[in-house]
Amino acid sequence: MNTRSEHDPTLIECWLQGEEHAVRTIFSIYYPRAVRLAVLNGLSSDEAQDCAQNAFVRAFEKRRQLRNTQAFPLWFQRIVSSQIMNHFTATKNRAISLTTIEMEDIEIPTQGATLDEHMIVQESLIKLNQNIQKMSPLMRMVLILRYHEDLSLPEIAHTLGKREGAIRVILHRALKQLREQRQQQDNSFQMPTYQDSHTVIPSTAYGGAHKR
Amino acid sequence: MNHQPIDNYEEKQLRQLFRQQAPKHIDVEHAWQHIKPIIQQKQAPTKGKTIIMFKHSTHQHRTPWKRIAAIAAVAVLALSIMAAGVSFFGLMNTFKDDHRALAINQVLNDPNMYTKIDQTQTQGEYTVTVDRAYIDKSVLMIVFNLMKTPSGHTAQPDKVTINGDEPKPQGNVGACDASTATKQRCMMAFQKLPNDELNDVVEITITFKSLNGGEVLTFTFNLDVQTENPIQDLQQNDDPWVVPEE
Repeated sequence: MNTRSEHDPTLIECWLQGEEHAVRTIFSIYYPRAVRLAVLNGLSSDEAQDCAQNAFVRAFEKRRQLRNTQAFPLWFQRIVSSQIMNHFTATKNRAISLTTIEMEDIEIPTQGATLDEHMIVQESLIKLNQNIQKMSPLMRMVLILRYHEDLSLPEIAHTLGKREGAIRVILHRALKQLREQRQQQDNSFQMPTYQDSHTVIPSTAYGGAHKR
Repeated sequence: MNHQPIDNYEEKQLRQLFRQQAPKHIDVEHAWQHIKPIIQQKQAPTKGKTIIMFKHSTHQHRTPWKRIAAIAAVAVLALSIMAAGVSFFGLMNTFKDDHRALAINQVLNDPNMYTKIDQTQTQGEYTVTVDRAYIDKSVLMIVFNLMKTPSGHTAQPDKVTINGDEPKPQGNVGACDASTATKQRCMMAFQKLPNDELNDVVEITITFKSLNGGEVLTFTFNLDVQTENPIQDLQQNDDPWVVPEE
């Protein structure tokens, strides 16, 4: 179905015209990205899919506002981010829940690493994840856009409708906060046992997002 | 969107964490089947807001209500300010009217301020006696009595002219009180005409209208009124809330 590249200039034009094959292709490219962004921000699987679908419908409705077809990825990213932030506003920034995974789902980061080394890495990721969940939705969103979506600071600023300086400050504070929390946790570090890590490792088990 | 950031330890860990946590398998086909009919309905782009509630959606489209609430708040605020303004100016006018009435009452009850006139004219069953008067640069006040025979019909002042022109009543003072069945005592105040020079002798005409069917009586007096002690001095120096006893 996805026979054309997202960089095909005529694809967005056809989408603007409402041609079904182009709409279908755009959906297949950008819907998974939107769902990933929503899940990383802490939405549940169903919420993330609703959010992504809602963003896609909204983008389709407002497609006449898109002046430059080259700007479509960032324009759509902005709509998705807005939907996610609205979700947190509507749900009063409720705390997001951590999910657990099975040990066999964990990626082995380095070939030839020992089990102990692997466990240490995973333990640090667990703590990092816990620290991220404690952040405000905006701070978490900035981190995700920067380190998962690989957006530049001006692009993040445009996506979130804020000034570049504000984004730079938020990012700096977020990294500083994570660094300080890691140092505090390192001071009271104890080697985890296999049983400890088996029960608290956070989500990579999104598991296919079978909606409805 | 490609750029090469300078990674530190946290940044590397963040990239690794997000890569691990991002969902790997997303059922696009199932989602497309769900969204396809909605997209087909939206073929014509619209400017308005569309409320779409998905099965699991907890996201409420609150923007219209926010806008309505904001408009309502602004309207309430504007009405409150208007009401406060109306109340303030109404209170001020009431205060000014009351103040003026008290000042006039005080002037016409103070022998040091009013001029005793005691001019009487009679026409048929009616007798008018101008008792006292006061005049300064801005106001003319008179007190007069209207007496009638017991068989005469009740009459009331209809029109007053000063030197041939009709002045504007001053404040809410102008009522007549019926002292007895045959006597009314009237106290009236008027704004002095702007182009009228301040003469001691003022020609004042009072027209009465009989209540039995339009009989009109006109009385004309030439009043020799002292113009000392203008009322402005009284208002500045005396407490207007104190009504002296006659």
